[in-house]
Amino acid sequence: MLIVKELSIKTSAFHIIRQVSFKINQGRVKVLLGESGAGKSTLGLFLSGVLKPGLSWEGEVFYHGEKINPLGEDWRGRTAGLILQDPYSSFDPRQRILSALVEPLMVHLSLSRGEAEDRALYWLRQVEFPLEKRWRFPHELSGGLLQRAAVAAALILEPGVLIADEPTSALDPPLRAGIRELIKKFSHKRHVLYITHFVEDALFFGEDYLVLYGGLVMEEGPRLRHPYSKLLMTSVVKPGKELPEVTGFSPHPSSLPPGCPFRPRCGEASDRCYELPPLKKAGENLVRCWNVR
Amino acid sequence: MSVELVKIEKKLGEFRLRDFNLRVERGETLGVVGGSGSGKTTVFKILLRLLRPDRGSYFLDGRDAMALSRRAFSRRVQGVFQNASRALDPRKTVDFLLREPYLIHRDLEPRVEELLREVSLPPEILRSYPPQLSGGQQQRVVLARALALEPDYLVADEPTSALDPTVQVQILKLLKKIQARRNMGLVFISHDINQVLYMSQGLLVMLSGLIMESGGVEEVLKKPSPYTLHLLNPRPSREREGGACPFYGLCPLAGPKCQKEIPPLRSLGEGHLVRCHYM
Repeated sequence: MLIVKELSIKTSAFHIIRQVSFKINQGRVKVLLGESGAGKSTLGLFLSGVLKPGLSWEGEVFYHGEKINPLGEDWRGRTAGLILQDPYSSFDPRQRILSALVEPLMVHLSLSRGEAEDRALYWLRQVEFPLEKRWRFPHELSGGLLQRAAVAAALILEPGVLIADEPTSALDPPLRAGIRELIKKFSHKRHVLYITHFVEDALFFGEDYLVLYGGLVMEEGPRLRHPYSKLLMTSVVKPGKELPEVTGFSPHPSSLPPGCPFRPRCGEASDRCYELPPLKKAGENLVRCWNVR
Repeated sequence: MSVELVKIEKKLGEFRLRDFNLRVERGETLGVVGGSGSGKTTVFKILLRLLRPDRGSYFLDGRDAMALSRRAFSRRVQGVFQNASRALDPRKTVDFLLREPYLIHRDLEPRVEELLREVSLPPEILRSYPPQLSGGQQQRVVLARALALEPDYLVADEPTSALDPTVQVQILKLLKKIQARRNMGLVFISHDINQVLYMSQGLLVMLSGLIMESGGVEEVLKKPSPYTLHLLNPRPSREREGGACPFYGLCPLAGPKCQKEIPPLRSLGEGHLVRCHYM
C-alpha cells in the first residue's frame, strides 16, 4: 500500500496542494481528476521523485508500511516509474529507442549488454511496440508509438509505483484507448496514480478516484458524488447530449476564494459554504461538501 | 456567399495536401476533422492566406481571394488559433490588444466594450496582461480580436484543445452562439469528431493530406466511411504495414485493391463523398 499523509507543497507565497491525504492499494489504479491549477501534476511529479525548484513540502509518505522520502535516489526511477504527457519529452532525442531502454538496466541492475537487450526486447514486446523500429530515434516515431515505448521505459526496472501524468492527452483520440489499456494491463501488483482530465479515461479505470480543486482534496473513493466531480463528468461533448452549464473557471492556487473554493461555481452552494467544509465520510467516499451526506 | 478552396495542392517537405476542395456558405459551419499529420493546420493556414498553395484556387464570394489586398482580406476572413497564449503579445494589455485592429482599420469605430460582452468577459479584464489570464479567458480575448473587424468568415484551428474539458464546453457554446448571431461562415477544425459534430452542419474528414469523406453531418452519420467510423468508435487493434490508401493499416474493409491504389473520392449521392474501394 502507498499512503500519503497530510502532504502540502508550497511556494514561498502560497500552497499548491494543501494537506492532501490518500492511499493506493496494491493492484489498483487511482484516478486523479481536476482542472488546470488543481495541483495534479505537482502531486504526481512529487510522488515520482521530482519537485520543481523553489517549492518545499511537508507531510509523510509510507510505502509497504515504511516511511520513505520520495525525493531520494532509490525512489525515483527505481521504485516509482513515470509516464509523461508528451512522449517526446520522455526520451533523449539523440538516443535510439533500444539504447534508451538498455541504459537503465546496465546502470541500475549491472546487467551485461546482451542481458539488458533481451530484457528491453521483452518489454517492447509487452507494450506491442513493433520491434523492427527499435533502432529509430524518437523524432522518427509517431506520438502513439513513442508513448508505448515510454510505458516500457517507465516499467523496465519493475517499479512498484507507477505515475502516469495525462499519458493520453497529447495523442489523437483513436490512440488513447490503446495506451490506457496498456496501463491497466500493468497495474496488476502495482500502485498506479493515473492523472487525467478525460472522462473516458476516468470511467475506463473507474474504481477509485481522487478529485483535487484549488490544491484541496474534494473527494476520494469509488464514487463521484461531489458537485464538482459531477461537473467534470458531464463536461464531455457527445452527439445528442446537451452540454452542461459551466460558470467561472478553476482558480489559481494563489487566489482561492474563502470557504469552499468551488462555491462561486457551484449550483448547490448555500451560505454555509463560506466556511470550508471538512473532508468527511459519505457512503463509501470521503467528500468535502456540506450538502453531500 | 461562400468561401471556397478548389483543387488545392501543397507540398511541405514529406507532406502533401492533395486535391483539396472545401466550401462553406455564410451562416453555416463546416467541421474539419483529422488526426496529427492529416493536414488540418495546412488547410487553416491556406484559408488565412498564411500559406500560399502550390496549385488551385481560393474564392471569396466567387472572387479570387488571393487577389485581395491583405487589408481587405482581413476584413472578410479571420482566424482563431489553437494556442491562445502564443497568439497574444504578453507585453500588451487586453485593452490595447482589442483596440489594435482599429489602429489599422481606422474607418471602423472601436467597439471594445461590446466585444467583451459578446465573449462574456468582465470589463475589469481590460487592464490585465495575457499571462495574468486563465487559458479560457485568453481564448476569449483571441476570439474577441478575431471578431473586431466584423469578418464574414471565421476559421478556428483546434480552438479548445489546450483547455480543460469544462472550459472547452464554455468556448464551444460561445463560438456556436456567436457564429449563429453574426451569421458568419465558420470553418471549425479539430481532432475531436464529437466536437466537430456538435458544432457543424457539414463535415470534412482528412487523413494524410487527403479528404477521406465529406458531406452533410446527417448524410455522413447515416453511412460513414470506415475511417470516420474508426474516429467515432475507436478500438485498439494491431496495425497492418503498407497500403496505398492511408487508412489501409487499420481498416476492417481493407482488400487487395487498397494495397495498390489510393481510392478515388466518389459520390454516394446527396453531396456525400467517400474515398473507399469497398464501401
